[in-house]
Order: sequence, then structure tokens, then C-alpha cells
Amino acid sequence: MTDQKIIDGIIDQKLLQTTSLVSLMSPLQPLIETYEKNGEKATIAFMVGLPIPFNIFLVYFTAAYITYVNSSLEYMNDQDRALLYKIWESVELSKELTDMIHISKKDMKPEYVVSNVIAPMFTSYASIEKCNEAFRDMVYRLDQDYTISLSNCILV
Amino acid sequence: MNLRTHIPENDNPIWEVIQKLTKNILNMENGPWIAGGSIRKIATNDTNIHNSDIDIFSPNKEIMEWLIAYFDKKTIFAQKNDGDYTYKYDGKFYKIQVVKHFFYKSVEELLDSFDFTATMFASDGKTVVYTQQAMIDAQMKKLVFHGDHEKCRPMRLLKYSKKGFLPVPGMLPAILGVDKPEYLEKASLFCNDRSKNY
Repeated sequence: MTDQKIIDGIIDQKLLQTTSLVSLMSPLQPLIETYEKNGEKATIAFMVGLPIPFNIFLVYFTAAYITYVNSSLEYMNDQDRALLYKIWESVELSKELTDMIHISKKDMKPEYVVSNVIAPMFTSYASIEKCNEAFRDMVYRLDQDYTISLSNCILV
Repeated sequence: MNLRTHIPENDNPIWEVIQKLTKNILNMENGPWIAGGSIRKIATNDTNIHNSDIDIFSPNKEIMEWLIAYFDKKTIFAQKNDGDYTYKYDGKFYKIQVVKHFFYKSVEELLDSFDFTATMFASDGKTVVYTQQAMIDAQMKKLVFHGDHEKCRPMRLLKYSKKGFLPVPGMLPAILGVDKPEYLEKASLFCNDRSKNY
């Protein structure tokens, strides 16, 4: 089973609830959950409420880090973008997120979310000096969330 | 190092390309060898050829130079560039790279140099060798340190994340260089505790 299928399966029952929760917590804090269906697991990160397979989240995060350190790498290629768009095609964005980025629902396309919400979020991570406490805390939070999610899979 | 042997029977296109290009020039005992991601895909029957470089490793500089001279003479490549070759087969392009700056005395030494367990696969074009842990981690798409974590760089996490691999807990801070001793210890614990079904 692909992560996409797991995401499809959880959107109806989990997503709106989770987006509200995450958006209220902080738009910059991803939340990581591992879902299990028919014995197969998928780890999903929620970035400003949008579900994304954890490995793709790591692509963003690591690339943003490398971009900062090397000042040279573009952190998403066309293939990465295409994958995200496909995942988000059926996602209903939460009211909180809609309000936050000040755009009507009919104009809310994945590319807008990427350029106006996701990219600045990762730029902000990357612009935090590589070893200062804020960045360290973010990495530790990610690792902690990930670890806990693996031990507390959500059956769907 | 306890290596397992497997004779591929699948019709993986990467295996077909390897056999076409390297017939009678590889040797499991003395090298050269093909190793890494391309062989992992053959061993796990992964037919996705995207981003599958075929890396050839040599036991010494003389063999490496002989390999480059050998491939340079071939007219079958779509492109050649200082040890890097592009081969077109069945409408698809394959990148072949002769590794030039690192040499290995044995296939065990070669596999031991790899940073992640899931990459510890090698072949002489006839059989595939790997560690048991390599096969488990490759099939589960788990990134686990092999040996010194200092070998790992963020670019490697980026590369394997794109391939669908996930790190074990504790590895993320270590690779991003913000690790504290307790995180290294945590990553090591997960590396050693194979009972955890992550």
C-alpha cells in the first residue's frame, strides 16, 4: 500500500480534525503521525495541516538545511512538486489555514500553498543558524514526534 | 562479515544492463565489483530504474584505469565523460560510473565502507552478495547507520528520502549535525535492536 492510499483513507475521518489541531498549535510546527492499515504503516507529517509522507517532508527539510549551509541548492525539483500536488489534489483545506494565507478557496491551489506557506516555512527553518538552539529544538521535536508516532500507530 | 549469496532470476532491466556491459570483467574474489543501490534494486526485485547509477568499484588504481580504458574504447555509449558513461537500453538511459578515488581489497571491505546498511549489496555480474541486515533494511526501506555515523552527510539523507527510505529514530539529529551524545546513543540502540519492527 502506498502512502498516497493511506492518506486517501484518512482524509475523511482525520484530516479536518487534525488540521484544526495543528493550525491552532502553531502553523510552523509539523505534527507527525504513523498510520497502520492492514498491517502496513505510513508515517505522515502534517505541515500547516497538510498531509505529506514523512520521507517527502524530510526531502524538504534536509534540502532546506543544505541550501542554507551551501547557499546553492534548489530544494524542490519538478518531480517533488508533482508528487505533492498529486497528494494534495483531494485535500480540503481547513478554515484556519484558509484564513491564515488570505485566499479564497477557489484560488487555493497547491502551487499557491507551496510558494506562500510551505517555502517560507522552510526558508525560516533554514535561515536559523544551523546550530543555534531554535534549529536544534526543531530537529529534536521532529525526531521525538517521529519516535512516538512509531510506537503509537493509529489504526485506520 | 557473514555474506549471503543470491543468483538473480528476475528480468530486472538493471540486471540485464549489468550483464551486457560487464560480462567477464568483474570478479567477486578480487574485484572489480558493482555495488550499492543498483544491486540493492536487483536483490529486492525493484524494477524502478529512476536514479539508479551503476557504480563500479576497483581493488586498485591499475584496475580502475584499465576499466576506464576498456569502457572508453566501447562505442555503445550515448555519452562518455571521464569515467562516467551513459548507456541506452530498451529506450531508457543508464548511468555507469567507475569510482576513481577509493579502492578496496575485498568485497567485504567494500561493503564495510558503506554508510547505510540498506546499501550493502555487491555483485560480480553473476551473483549478488549482501548481509542479512542489508536485505531486511532494504525491504523495509529503513535507513540505519552502518559503522561510523560521521560518514553520513545531509545530502545522503536527502537522496534516500527521495527513494522512500525513512531514518530510524535518533538518526535525524545525527545526520543534520545537531546531535548530542544521547541522540547518537539512541540511534545506536535502534541500530542494534532488531526486534523493533520499524
